[in-house]
Amino acid sequence: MKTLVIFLFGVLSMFPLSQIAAQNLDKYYTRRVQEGGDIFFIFPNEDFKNSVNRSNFFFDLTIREGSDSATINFTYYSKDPAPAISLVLITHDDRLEAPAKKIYIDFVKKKWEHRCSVKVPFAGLQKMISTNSPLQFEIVTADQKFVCETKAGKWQKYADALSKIFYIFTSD
Amino acid sequence: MKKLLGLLLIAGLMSSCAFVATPVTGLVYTDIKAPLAVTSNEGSTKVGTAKMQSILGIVATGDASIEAAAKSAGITKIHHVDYEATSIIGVIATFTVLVYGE
Repeated sequence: MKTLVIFLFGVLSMFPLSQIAAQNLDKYYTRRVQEGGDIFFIFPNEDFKNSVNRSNFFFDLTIREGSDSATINFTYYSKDPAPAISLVLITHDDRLEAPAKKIYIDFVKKKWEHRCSVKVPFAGLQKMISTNSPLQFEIVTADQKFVCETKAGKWQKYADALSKIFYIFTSD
Repeated sequence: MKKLLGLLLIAGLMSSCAFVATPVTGLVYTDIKAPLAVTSNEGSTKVGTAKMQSILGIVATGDASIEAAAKSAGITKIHHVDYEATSIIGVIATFTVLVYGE
């Protein structure tokens, strides 16, 4: 048993601790090098909740070199079919609204699942991320508005990673 | 109910752990990326993901099909497909498919 513990400890110590414990940007994004501009894909964030019906809100981000906009694909759930007209990004001092385009709508586990896409100016998004204010998403439908938010601590950690990714993106 | 949960837990611990399909396996920790498929389509502007997860090798859920990943980003022309697999001491294993295309 003692030998096994020593062996496992030896194996684990071969990995730098930073690779496992510290903030590793690899778990936040992936980059594809290609002709015409690299693509940065920021993996889905699953920390947000719809403050009206407490359902999940997911979003991911795609940015491409040579383009001044960022694509946000997002998923939300509703009791009734409520297609999004627009998505509003809100911080304490700023507000950014973009028309939503439907990717698909489905009925899953007694709820309507809406998947949509918006394009926002990259500079505006970067500015919002760089502030200390947690980001909120407001989904605007024909007759309702859903605000989706996360805990400030979770957002801060995510925003820190996002700022670094944006820095890598803009400095190339 | 308690007995049933206890039995399930013991069965899970004795029979299996949450392992994930990878070209290389880490018994304690796995975090890898690898290719899954490539097509002759050119370029990609969209990326879609889909994932599945296993807990203790007892419960496994999710849809990590290429179709689900492509659907999530509205991709109709697939350029290539990668996957990522993570596993932490056989407790939680995640398999994520990434589809690149237009």
